[in-house]
Amino acid sequence: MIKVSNLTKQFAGHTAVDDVSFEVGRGEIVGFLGPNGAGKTTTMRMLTGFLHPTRGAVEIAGCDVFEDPIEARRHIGYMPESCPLYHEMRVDEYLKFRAQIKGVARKAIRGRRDIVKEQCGLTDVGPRIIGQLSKGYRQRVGLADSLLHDPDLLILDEPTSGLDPNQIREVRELIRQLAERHTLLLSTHILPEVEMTCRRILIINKGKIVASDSPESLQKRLEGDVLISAEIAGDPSVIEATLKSLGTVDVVSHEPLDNGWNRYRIDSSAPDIRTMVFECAVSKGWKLRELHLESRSLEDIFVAITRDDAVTEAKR
Amino acid sequence: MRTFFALWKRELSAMFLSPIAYVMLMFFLLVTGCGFYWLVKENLEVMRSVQGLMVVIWACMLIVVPVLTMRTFAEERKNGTFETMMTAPVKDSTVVTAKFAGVLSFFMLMCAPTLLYLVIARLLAPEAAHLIEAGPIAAGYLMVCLIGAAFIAMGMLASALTSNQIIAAISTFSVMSIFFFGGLFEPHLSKNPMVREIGGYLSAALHLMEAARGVFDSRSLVLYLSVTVFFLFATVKAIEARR
Repeated sequence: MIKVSNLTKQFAGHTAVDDVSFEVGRGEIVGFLGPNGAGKTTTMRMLTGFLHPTRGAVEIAGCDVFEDPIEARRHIGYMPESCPLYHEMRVDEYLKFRAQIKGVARKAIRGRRDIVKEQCGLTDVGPRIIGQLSKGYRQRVGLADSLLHDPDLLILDEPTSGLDPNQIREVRELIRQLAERHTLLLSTHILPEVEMTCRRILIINKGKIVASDSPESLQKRLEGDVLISAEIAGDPSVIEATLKSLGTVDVVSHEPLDNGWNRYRIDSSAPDIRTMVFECAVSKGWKLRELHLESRSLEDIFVAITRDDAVTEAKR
Repeated sequence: MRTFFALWKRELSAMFLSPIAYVMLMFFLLVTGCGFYWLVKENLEVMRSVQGLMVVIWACMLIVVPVLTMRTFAEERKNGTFETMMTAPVKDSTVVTAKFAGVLSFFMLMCAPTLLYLVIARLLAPEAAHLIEAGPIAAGYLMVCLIGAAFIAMGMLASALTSNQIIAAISTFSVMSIFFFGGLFEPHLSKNPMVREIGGYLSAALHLMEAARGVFDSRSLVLYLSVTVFFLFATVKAIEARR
């Protein structure tokens, strides 16, 4: 659906997107992550043909975005960051206007408009002036607009930014529904959102794609080092030394709890050493009241990948 | 073609949905009305004719055109709606021509009520009827539209180059002044006959006065049409270049 090859965008003085290549297949739901200023919006703008790249090419549904922009744009529903709208227009007016310029057949306009209004929960606000709607409703109008011409591909730039938790939940639900019928590329800062909706994650940092995988395998990749937490009673210095001698253990740290208990955090490069810890405790006669594997959230992955490029490069 | 009409209609309705249309209409009709009244009252024969009215309209254009055109692109850029517009399947040239058509039709709509002044003058002063005839009126208004079109195209280029409306308005105003004052002060412009001649060729005021006398010069027709086309083309290129 999307084929990006060697895309580079240089602005005066700095390179915003640096030789990026990736592909998104039909029906995929891809989360596009990255810290602020990493080049997410610039990349999305190039995908939609709004910005021209310094080098490289983008193909959407087989059309080159820069050679054949009109045809390529027919396949794209795009909602820019901050969701710009004409605030002086009414919702119905605006959607009709957008349908017209997107080339929806004259007879189909009313029908399409009603469908997207239904999808986005806008049925009651048709005659309202956009400027008087709440931020959440405006976001829905933007989303409805991007759906009007029933595009194969939806590109949403931070669809939930600036919404309250309830609205975020609604928009997320809506996105999940859309994902059944469209290919989706969405950028966001909110990581649980990606974890919940996306089947593949692209992480961009300093203009380069640093990771592209499913959330599960990204998690696995970091689980080369496992984090185990154990609560054991006894002399911390002895226990710590014993745990360290388990072989694959890199770092052990502990924090004291009440009544002589300590919580140990064990960083290990082996896949899972919980049984070893347990057996060790049994043989030494320690009291062990908790032992569990701490799962790494997407947040940890994100931080690990984007914080330090050198580390990422080494891990590859 | 459908997209063109949709964009044109939005451009025109956007003006009426914001106070700008009403403020400009009021300003324009107030100034032209007072101006024409004063000219008639002074009882100058030339000034009671179509020429008089044309001079007043011409003077208003210097304010009206920059204000009408400054928002065309600068506002959309600032609000971000430019992005939604340019990622819809529409050609850059369609957007530019539709916006141009929108502003020009508003401008023509704005000028239309001034025809009433001439009707009133004719009714109230039958002895001046020979000064107000169909030919000069048609030629005069056609020339107003031509000059308006050229200036609007200029203003749109300025608006496409910046996201600041004030900058767009002031730069339009500045470039327009060359056409405006070029010929108006022709005798005082320079001692150099060449400069004076060029000033005369570019003078919108002279062209307008000639047309309102019933003498329609094809040279000025060519001048304004080519200026319009040139600036519209430049606007399309400016939009492309800012990508």
